[in-house]
Amino acid sequence: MMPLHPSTWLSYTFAILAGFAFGFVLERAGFGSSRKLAAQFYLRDLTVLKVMFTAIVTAMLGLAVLRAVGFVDWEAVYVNPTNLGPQVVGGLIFGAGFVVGGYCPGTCIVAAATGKVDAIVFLGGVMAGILGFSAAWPWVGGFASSGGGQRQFVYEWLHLSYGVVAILVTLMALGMFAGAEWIEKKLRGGTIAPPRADASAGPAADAGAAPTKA
Amino acid sequence: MSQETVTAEAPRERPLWDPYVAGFFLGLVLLGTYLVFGRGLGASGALARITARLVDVVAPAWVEGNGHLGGYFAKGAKWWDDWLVFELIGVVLGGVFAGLTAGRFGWKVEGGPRVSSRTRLIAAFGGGAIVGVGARLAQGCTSGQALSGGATLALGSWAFMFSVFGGAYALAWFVRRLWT
Amino acid sequence: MQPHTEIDSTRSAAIALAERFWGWEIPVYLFLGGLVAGLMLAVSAAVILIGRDRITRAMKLGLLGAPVLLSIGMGALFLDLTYKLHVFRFYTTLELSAPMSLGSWVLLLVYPVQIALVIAMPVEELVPWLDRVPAIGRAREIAAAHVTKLAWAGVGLGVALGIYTGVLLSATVARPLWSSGALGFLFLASGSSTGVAALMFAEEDHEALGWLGRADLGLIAFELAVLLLWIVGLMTQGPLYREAAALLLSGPWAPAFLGMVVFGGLIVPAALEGLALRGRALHSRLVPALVIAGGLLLRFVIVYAGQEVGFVAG
Repeated sequence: MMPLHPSTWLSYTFAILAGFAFGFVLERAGFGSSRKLAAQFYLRDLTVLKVMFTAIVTAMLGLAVLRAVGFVDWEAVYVNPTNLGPQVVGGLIFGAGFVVGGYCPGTCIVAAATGKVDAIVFLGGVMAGILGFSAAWPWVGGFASSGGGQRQFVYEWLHLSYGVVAILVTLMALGMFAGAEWIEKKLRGGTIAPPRADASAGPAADAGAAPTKA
Repeated sequence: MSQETVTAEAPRERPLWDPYVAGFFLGLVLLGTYLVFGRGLGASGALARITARLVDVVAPAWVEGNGHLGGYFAKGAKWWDDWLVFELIGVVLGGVFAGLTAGRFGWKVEGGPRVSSRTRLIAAFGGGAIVGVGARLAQGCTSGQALSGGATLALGSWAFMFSVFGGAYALAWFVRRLWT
Repeated sequence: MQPHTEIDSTRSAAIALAERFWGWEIPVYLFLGGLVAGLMLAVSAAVILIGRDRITRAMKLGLLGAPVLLSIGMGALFLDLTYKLHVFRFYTTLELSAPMSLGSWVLLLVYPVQIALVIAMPVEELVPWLDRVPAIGRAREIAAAHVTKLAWAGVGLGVALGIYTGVLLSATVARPLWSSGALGFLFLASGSSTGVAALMFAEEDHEALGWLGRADLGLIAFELAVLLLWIVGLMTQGPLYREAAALLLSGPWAPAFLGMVVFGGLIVPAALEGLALRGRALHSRLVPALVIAGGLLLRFVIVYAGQEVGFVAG
């Protein structure tokens, strides 16, 4: 019966391997580049949408099938608690920061690991933001802790079954992929800005080398 | 000794994976963590703990009494005692490994074609700070909420995901100078 | 009171006592000792294998750094005055037991050989300083004339110093995790791989980087083999040894040992190094940095985890 739930220490040990795979795939997807990530919001390159929804659909269908055949104990799976107020407001703030800074926390780690100085600075910003949020806790804590934190699902909200929603999400993702391909084809060549000439360092650039522009 | 293999210049940059292939493998990694650990991936939670630990060096009384971060230092608690902290170490290793083996590694500032490095770095710091606030408020980021929660069809995670895209697209036009 | 709680409290008290035994100073000393042994061994071997004319600037810097790092390591040993009693015990044991007298002989010989190697092959910037004193000038000529003999002495002392850093633990305090003959070879292998990694970190010459990369790869493979032997040895020796090994394999030290030392500090850098030598990955200083960080963490894990399981409870 899944999940296996190994002991805490083994779980932490394998967490390093899981993180390795996560970081590796993010880099191979091109998420170590702020230009590529930000291009999503200017409809120049919809890789973010494609990768993200393919991943969600893959994992969701996997979980749905394994749950249906009784292989997964659904109650033993952690589900992010729902606090709609903080999550909607937090999401809007997060999105604004994403388009200004060009990364999200996970991708900035991968970008920093491949030498992007802007990602290291972004990481410092994230930490400053976390610190600022903590300092403001006496004022924002009430709202941040609101919402009940229930284990609540999209299918409950829609009053549909788990399987039906899984199929709907898959169809929605396929529709979005078709739309994304259409938009990319439409805008190809035209308005996408050329890469900044000085943006790439030589391939031999190394730990000791200075940033190209500093 | 064959010197050509050693002195051979850096390998050509390898192409990125096709987005759907990358997404499929990302989904498999995520499915794997759900099946083995009963939980998804994440990033911002570990960053909060690391931030708390760093602040603890300079202002221990403040951080340990803080309503948001103080719990990491409660009696019997350890700041590093979280799956995500160890996962994050792996993400760094995986990023380094992938970058070096793809020939995509080099110290540089990357940004839009019309902004100086200085502007880019200021925007990166500011954007990072805003992201930090949003991630703490929503108790997760694109990895921990949108991706992981999205796969379990958690209602709040989907609300977060659409809010992120909403917030980003709403502001994109106003900050277009940064990227286009 | 239930009997098992009593045992538990005795045991946790024993652990609490044990945890105060050795702090960060000992692992840092053992790490630096191993690193110095590795530097000495690697540069001396290079003198013998490729000739003194092809010793690079990074290798000369390594020779120069070795006595400095060793002194910092010795400093760490004396640093915390509250541990003075332990340091004292350290040295009384050093004179009394047989392997330890070997250790004091090694330390006694290491410094002069290191200094002779430095003046035989100084970095450019050092030459005008050395030439100011006529006596050093003569010593330089003598050292330079006997550089191959010095290199052989460097190899021998490097091996001895590397093994000594491992034997030190088992000879000073009896702990299941430390009472293994493999520990000496493990610390020698780890010291050598971190020493070569330190040279790679400073190396600018592509050709030398290739030799060092190959050497580091071989040493990491050797280290992994010794680690395996050590663990298998512990697993087959008895319940107490198995308990000690379990700390590293499935207990609280597993993430640091298996995840960070073995995976992050040996397997990942070895894979990157191997791919870089075939032109399938970029060379980066991050790779030797991982090896060095892994080596330091290995000493912490072995010293700290070793203190958690003793032969007698309470």
